Amino acid sequence: MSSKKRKKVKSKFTKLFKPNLSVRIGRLLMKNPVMVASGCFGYGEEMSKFYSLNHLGAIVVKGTTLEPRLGNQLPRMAETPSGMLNSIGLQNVGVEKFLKEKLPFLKKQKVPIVVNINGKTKEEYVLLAKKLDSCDDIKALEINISCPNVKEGGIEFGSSALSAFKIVQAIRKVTKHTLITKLSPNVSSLQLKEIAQACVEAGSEALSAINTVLGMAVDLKNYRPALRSTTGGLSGPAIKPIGLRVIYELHQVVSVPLIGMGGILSVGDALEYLLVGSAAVAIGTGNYINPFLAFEVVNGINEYFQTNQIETGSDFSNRFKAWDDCKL
Amino acid sequence: MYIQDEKVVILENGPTGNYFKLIFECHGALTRALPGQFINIRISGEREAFPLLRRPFSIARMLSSTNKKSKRIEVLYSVLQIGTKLLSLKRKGDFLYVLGPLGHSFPLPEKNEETIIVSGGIGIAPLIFLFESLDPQIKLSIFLGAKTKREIVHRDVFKRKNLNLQIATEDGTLGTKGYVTAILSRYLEAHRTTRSILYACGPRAMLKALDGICDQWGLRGYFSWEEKMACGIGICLTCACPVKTANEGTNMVRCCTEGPIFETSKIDWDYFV
Ligand SMILES: Cc1cc2nc3c(=O)[nH]c(=O)nc-3n(C[C@H](O)[C@H](O)[C@H](O)COP(=O)(O)OP(=O)(O)OC[C@H]3O[C@@H](n4cnc5c(N)ncnc54)[C@H](O)[C@@H]3O)c2cc1C
Ligand SMILES: Cc1cc2nc3c(=O)[nH]c(=O)nc-3n(C[C@H](O)[C@H](O)[C@H](O)COP(=O)(O)O)c2cc1C
Ligand code: FES
Repeated sequence: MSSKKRKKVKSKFTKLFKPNLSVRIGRLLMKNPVMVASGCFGYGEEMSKFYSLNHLGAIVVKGTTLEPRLGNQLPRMAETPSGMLNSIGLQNVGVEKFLKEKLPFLKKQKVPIVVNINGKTKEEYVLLAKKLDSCDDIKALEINISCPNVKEGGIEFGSSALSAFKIVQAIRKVTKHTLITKLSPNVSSLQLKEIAQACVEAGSEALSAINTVLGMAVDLKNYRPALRSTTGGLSGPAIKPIGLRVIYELHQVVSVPLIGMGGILSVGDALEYLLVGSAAVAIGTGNYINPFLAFEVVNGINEYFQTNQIETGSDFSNRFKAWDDCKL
Repeated sequence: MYIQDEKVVILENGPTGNYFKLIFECHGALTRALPGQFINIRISGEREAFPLLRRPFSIARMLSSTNKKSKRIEVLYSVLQIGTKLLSLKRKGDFLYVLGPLGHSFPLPEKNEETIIVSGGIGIAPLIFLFESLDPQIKLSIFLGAKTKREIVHRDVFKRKNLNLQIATEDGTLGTKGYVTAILSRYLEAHRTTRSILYACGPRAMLKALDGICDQWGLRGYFSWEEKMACGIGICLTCACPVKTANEGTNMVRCCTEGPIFETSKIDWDYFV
């Protein structure tokens, strides 16, 4: 058979095989496992100029707080080897304006919306969750207890199992929405597992990880830190190995769906996250470099599953083998 | 406005004075870019991630091409660190991914408004495109400032009837010795104008001084603003610029999306103190 003919037969064959990419994150049903990460997609409107947002599994909007926030001082960004440090400090329009000005555009799309929620105190998280509870256009809340860029709240709550438990439990009591808790990598492996288990026990139906890694860059020319806030959150390919390790470890200790993120810049990166146990992935910094990335990853996963005759995401992650199970 | 990530071919890339000049051919949305808008250039290859982020550059000139449907864009840049160093190594025939056109353009002068253009160093870039788009009949003064003669590029472009072109260099190798703001102030003192619009791009300190001058002489000042940008398309909030709100508060807006052209009277300069 000529190579041309062979190609034709192959493509006919692959067309017949249709993988089922849909995944369930708690009660949130997504048509594919590709989400976009909080703070890395705005409120969707800008990105809708590049492709129809309906191709995505879900959109996680910018970290939202009760009151509007102006964010941290400038400069807020520094490029680092294969990564970037940011210190936005949760600049956002506040929940009222979000509901009035940002949500109307989003709800016109046929894509589930997840709101990333943040508070300085437990009471703020609870009030925020209450305000969002009656809104059926929101399909899930992502509790951010891992922001490294705010003085109060944020990561403080995500650094101990007890405080994480209290926050999640309090929010669980006031909302019917699916709850996802976003975890920080800035804890020890042991703490990570304890915090994860505590969140699940308190009613979190899924976990997402990782938020950015605490870091610092230096402006040698001016003898000072590159960021005005001195430290910031590292994202991008530099943190992918950390993200993969965290998902791998979480997969050992909890059975709720995991959303893996950190440094996804290609279909291959997303597949690695799925293989080590995440049910879905989220694309953050990658959107900045290639605005079409999330769209390309959706298509790329579909193609990969087709070519390799993989029916579902869990069939795929079942292929993951520990070294001890490999025939050498 | 339609934005595209276009794969373009480099036609020219080499030094001009102390800067570099890059020219590439484009076909899509970029051909409709307006003066003041910018582009975000991916310096790494398609499958590479070094340097990770794109680099923002103003469009310095929009040139016609041999092909009617396409245009040639010229970028003027100074070679600083890794991104611009790698860009300077690209050769004719190499490809680049160019995202744009991004941001807002300069507003055009109103009828009978005298126009003043002030540049500092590489800040000349967006102002060349502006100059070439202005009605040749309007009353126009241009003040070019730089550290030294080799940083005054494209002087030959600024040619037309009745043009008041003045140059200042800090080391005195070309034009008046000193800051460009000094020759501008002298001009304003001698030619008190009632209705003028001032366009500027350059270092922050120069813009700050120009803000004072605009205030003093009642000029409408429009500046091309620079801030570090991770995305250039409005989704990351790294590029914040403080602007005044109606009730004397401050709001942070995105330089890449609400800017990069800002009216100086709207910028909250106190934020930087
Ligand atoms: C709207 C806009 C238009 C611009 N137009 C031009 C132009 O026409 N010609 C020109 O030479 N330069 C221009 N600049 C500045 C140019 O983007 C930087 O000089 C360039 O990104 C430096 O890259 P680097 O890798 O050499 O420096 P590095 O210091 O290695 O860059 C590290 C990071 O900081 C950012 N950065 C560094 N300096 C600046 C700066 N001054 N402004 C914004 N981001 C910066 C980079 O983009 C990168 O993300 C413009 C900037 C903006 C925001
Ligand atoms: C500029 C920027 C802003 C971010 N803002 C938020 C935020 O508001 N809430 C949040 O939970 N995570 C935020 N993140 C973290 C990302 O959602 C993501 O967890 C992290 O960047 C790792 O993924 P990445 O390497 O693909 O970017 C932000 C990240 C960046 C780079
Ligand atoms: S650079 Fe990302 S919002 Fe402006």
